[in-house]
Amino acid sequence: MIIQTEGLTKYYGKARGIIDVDLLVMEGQIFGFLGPNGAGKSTTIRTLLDFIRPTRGRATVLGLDSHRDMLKIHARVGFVPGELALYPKLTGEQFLHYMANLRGGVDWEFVRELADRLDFELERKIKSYSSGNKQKLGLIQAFMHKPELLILDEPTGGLDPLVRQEFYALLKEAKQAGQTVFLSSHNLPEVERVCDRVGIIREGRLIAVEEVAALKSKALRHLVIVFDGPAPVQDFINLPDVRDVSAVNSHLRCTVAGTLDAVVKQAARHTVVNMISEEPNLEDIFLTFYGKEANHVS
Amino acid sequence: MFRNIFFKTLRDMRVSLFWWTLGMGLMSLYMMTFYPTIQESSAELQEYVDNLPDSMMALFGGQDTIDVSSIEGFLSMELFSFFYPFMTVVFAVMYGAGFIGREEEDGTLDVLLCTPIPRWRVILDKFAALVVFTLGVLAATYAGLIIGGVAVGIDDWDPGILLVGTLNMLPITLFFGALALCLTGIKGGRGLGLGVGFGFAAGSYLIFSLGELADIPRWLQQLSPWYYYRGIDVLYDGMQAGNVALLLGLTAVLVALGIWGFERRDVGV
Repeated sequence: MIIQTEGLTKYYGKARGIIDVDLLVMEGQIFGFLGPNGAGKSTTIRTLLDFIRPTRGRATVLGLDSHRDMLKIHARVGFVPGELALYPKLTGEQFLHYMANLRGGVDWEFVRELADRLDFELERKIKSYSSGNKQKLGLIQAFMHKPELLILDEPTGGLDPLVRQEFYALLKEAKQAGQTVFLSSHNLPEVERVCDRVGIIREGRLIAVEEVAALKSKALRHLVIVFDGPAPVQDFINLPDVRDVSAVNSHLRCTVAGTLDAVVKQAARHTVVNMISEEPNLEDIFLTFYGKEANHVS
Repeated sequence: MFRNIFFKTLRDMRVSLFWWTLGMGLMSLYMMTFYPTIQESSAELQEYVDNLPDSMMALFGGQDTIDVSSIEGFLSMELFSFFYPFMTVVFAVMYGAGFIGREEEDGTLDVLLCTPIPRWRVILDKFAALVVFTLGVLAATYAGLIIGGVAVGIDDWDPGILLVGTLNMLPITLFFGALALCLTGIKGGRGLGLGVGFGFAAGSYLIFSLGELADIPRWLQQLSPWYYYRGIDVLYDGMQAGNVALLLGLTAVLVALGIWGFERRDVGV
């Protein structure tokens, strides 16, 4: 067990952080920690790293107590903070030297390889980097000592799509090398793409832990179908897993839970001009699939 | 320079250190070159000083018994009693509050603390950098005094006692730096350290300097760190081991308290 929390609870004064979070992350997994902003993702992560201390409950990381053995944990973990802040007056290279020295040295060849792969220029001052470049530096800093566990708090914000692909490749290689990844995100497609298991957190509570395959079957999409004539609303109203059907002239809107198969087959009986599928919204998924549990526990 | 937190902190201070050493060095040089003029007009000056209202005299750390025409009296009144230690306390409080407070406000504390470096080490390294910074500024201050004195040909002086007077500023400077550091260790953010650091430095100075005139009880005066600084006497009596030990001891206690607070609190919230 790489990460284990029992009844982990954190209040900031009276404000809710997280409540009774029981997490299990196995070795060699890429675990997605999914939830909207403010749900408690960073609070959980900061507790695991002992930046903040739980109000109740406990956590072990790599089999070590998150508070008592904090330094041993830090030596074996790579971390990208959710709100990454770096020293603006240092160059990327100086910053990495500093971090490497505090960690007792790293393989500098590997640092250069990471920088090359992420297309990152080490020599410039941090204050001159774009937010995407700062994020790359945060990633290099987390990966460079080949830690057993990578804790990445919303690591892909600001990365352009090509770099994001490279980052996903790095995750895959980390997994192949036996490293464990704990990755928080509010982006469902990203989590579906890279993770093995997903924990879903909402309003401070872990409301579900699922295999990614199970989550995919619950995919929820808003669909707009444009026909060449008035939208045939009646054909869609009674389809299974289709809801919120409405139409304005030739535009038909609906929400589909699960596969699009039935909708596509039904639409194919008419002339379809266009079909637009929107990214599922986390909040919709919560309300649709976890609404009962979420209400039950809160 | 990036070997550890101590060297990195010193590196962060290097531009500031340059200006502080330049400023304090030049000020010392200037005051020394100014001294012969003072000496020539010593009779008028002594009269002026004698006629100053007692409260003004006290506020600037003066005493009736001081002979301002002597180099020791001149430097005690002008520099060591009040002006110089206030300058050094300014940077000490700013750095003391900024070491943890600034990194926490900027958010850089997260990447620093995710390394296997204990929190107490962060505080000790940074405070050690402040000690070196202060010694650097004091060295430049002393160099300015000596160069200035030699340049204008002062002969009736003891360069050794000037070194003692300069070094005497170290304990009080570190004390206020440690106070500000301690408060940001216990509670996040720079505000408390800056506010209490400067507020206590100024307030406790008033209590000490106006103590005799305003009939402030002695025990209250003794609560002021300035009571143990004695910049006005140091060029005559030298450093008092008890006073130095007390200020440095309190400094150590404050740093330890800061570590204790920092080890047990949430960071970056």
